[in-house]
Amino acid sequence: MKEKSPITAKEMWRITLNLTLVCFSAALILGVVFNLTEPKKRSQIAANEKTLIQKLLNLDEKAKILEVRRYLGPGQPPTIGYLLSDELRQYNLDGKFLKKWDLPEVFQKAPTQERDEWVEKEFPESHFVGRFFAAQNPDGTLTGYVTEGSQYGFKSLIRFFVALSQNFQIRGVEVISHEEDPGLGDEITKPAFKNQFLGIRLEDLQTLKLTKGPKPEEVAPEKEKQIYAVTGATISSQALVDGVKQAVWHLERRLNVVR
Amino acid sequence: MSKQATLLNDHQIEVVVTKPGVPSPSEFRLTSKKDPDILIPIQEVNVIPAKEGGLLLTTGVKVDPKGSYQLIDTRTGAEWLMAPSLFGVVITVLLTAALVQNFVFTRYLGLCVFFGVSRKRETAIGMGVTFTVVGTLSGLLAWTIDRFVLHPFRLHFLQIIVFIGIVAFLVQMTDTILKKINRPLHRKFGIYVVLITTNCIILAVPLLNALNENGFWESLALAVGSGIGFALALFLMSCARERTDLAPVPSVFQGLPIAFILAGLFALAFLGFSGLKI
Amino acid sequence: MSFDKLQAPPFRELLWRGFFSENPVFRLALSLCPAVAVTNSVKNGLMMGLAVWAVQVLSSLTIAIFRNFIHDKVRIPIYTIVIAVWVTAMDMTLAALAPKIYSEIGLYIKLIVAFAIIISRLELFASKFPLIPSVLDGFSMGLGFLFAMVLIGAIREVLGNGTIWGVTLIEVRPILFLVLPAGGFFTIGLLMAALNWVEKGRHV
Repeated sequence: MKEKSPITAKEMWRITLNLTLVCFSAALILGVVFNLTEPKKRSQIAANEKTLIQKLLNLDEKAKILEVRRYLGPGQPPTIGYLLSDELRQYNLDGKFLKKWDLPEVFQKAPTQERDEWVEKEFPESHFVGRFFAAQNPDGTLTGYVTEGSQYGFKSLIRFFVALSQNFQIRGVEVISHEEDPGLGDEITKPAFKNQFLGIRLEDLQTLKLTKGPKPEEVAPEKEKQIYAVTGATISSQALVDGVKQAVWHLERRLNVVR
Repeated sequence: MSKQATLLNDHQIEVVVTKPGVPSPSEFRLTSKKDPDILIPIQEVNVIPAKEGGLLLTTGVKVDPKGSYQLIDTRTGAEWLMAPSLFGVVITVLLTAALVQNFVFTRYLGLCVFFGVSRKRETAIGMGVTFTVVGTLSGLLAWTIDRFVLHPFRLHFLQIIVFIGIVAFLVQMTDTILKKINRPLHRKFGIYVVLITTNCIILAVPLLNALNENGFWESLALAVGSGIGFALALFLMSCARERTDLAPVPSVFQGLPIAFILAGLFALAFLGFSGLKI
Repeated sequence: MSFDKLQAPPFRELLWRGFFSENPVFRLALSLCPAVAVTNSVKNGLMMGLAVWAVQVLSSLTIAIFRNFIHDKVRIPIYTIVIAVWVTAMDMTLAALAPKIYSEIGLYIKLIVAFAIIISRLELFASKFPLIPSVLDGFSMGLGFLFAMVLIGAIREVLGNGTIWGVTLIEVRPILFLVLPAGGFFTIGLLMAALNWVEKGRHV
């Protein structure tokens, strides 16, 4: 690039042709790759979530998993939309039923993205804000719920699933993604920490406390349920405890509305 | 809409109401911006004696002091919005990017340039200043293009190529303009401008902004903060390296190995910032 | 240009350069960010190494094929675009095939595009030599990087976490500090010094 030779018209054309061709083929290649990998990526994520839910709730292959997606509509005060397996329902903030739309048959088995697009059309200016899952036996009885939550941890957002049985007892907690430090904060993803949530009931959650320091060998039976924090990662542990509390509480409220 | 409602901590709210008397907790409606359909229970309402109409509300569950909440007095219909101020958010993002999550010492970005130009204090300062300026410009330009072109047209798979293009364009432009306008300045900073292309921080900033869907001010704060953080890291490192040049370092450790050990020590020291709550 | 008359070095020489005498991490001190950031386990190190290796080989291949077509004045922008294309393709493929690992190293995969090592191989080698030596050069350099990533990852995972590839080797964690953020700098510094020491021993 250093040499200062003047550029002739012919060279100019070559350079332009060069750059145009490169940019054009770059966009073309990326477009093709994107369209090839994107559906695969989505189906992979959906499949992983399904396996995780089956594992958390100990479901067999026959059990059905229903996804309930929640949308926040426009207006002041706003309205809430819930997309169930076959219909979209609109409620006001106090949980009063307003309106419903039937989800066309073609969309019932369609990928999430297409269902979201359908909701956008029917329920304008709304956007997706959260979701939970309900597991159903083949005979139609509900066996449990899994809700997705997130909480700001030590470094950034910790996303997690909480699985609950039909009578709101915690069946499992699983961290989906986090950016906590390896060796410290990421210990919250290990069974030693997350299994402490097992069996906690809705009524215990209110008073659930985080205790600093590792779990002692012998735990005296106590009235109050507590979670022992990961040593050196109190903030991450506290974040997960707060997040689980909130997620379960919100799920309980919303189930009362949609049920 | 009045503004006299503030979150004191994670379970207390101070509010000034116009209607006299002590309302019952159920007469207030507290919701978060994120989940407007979930009522946050209020446990008790106490009067603040020193303030006229001042009330102290205690919530039944934890609230996030950095979150946005809406409080309604159902007796009068008065509405309060509690949200962190823009200035507060900007300062938080800026300090987080510069210290708590310093791009060099806790995210390990920009290391090639970091080890390359931290030998002398003078070059470190030159690089730091140049990077902060160009990084801020590119962060803003990338944010604009991402928000108004890539996002609406769902072209996010072109992000990398577009962002690197923006950086290359800005570097070339800065170099040319500097050369035309101010020759001495170009002689001093020109070399650093060219080196910026290989600094991954400049690419990480727009990518992080796009990932977290940051708004304009947050993006600006992240860009400036990352620049300051990088400059700070460079300056600290160059001071330390000028000293190790004079110290009797074992021969196998001379040059880069000792620089890495030093960087490790700095990284440990920066770990101390991470407990900081801003 | 008279570079075409240059004799390309043999494959053995290229491999030696990639692994030792011009190792991208330990010797050239280029592409250090991922070498420190994602090497807290062998799995992440290997994945990152493979991604860089693939991008390096594919970019070298592309540039070597089109080197007579690319105009000298715009070669740097074109190299950058070529690298960006391959990086994006790699990024999307990994996101689709290995979402779990991708969630940990995704940002660093995207940042491969700013790696000085790849563009310097294109400028120094692929733009001057024919197809086969260029690909072999990219192959060796990428492999050298992969080797460094796996080595650092293995040391940090075994000593810091007591595991290798997620399998527990030792019950305790000998030096927990090594998996912590700062541990990466120390590991690389010590490895560089060790390499210096070995080389010194050879020359004495």
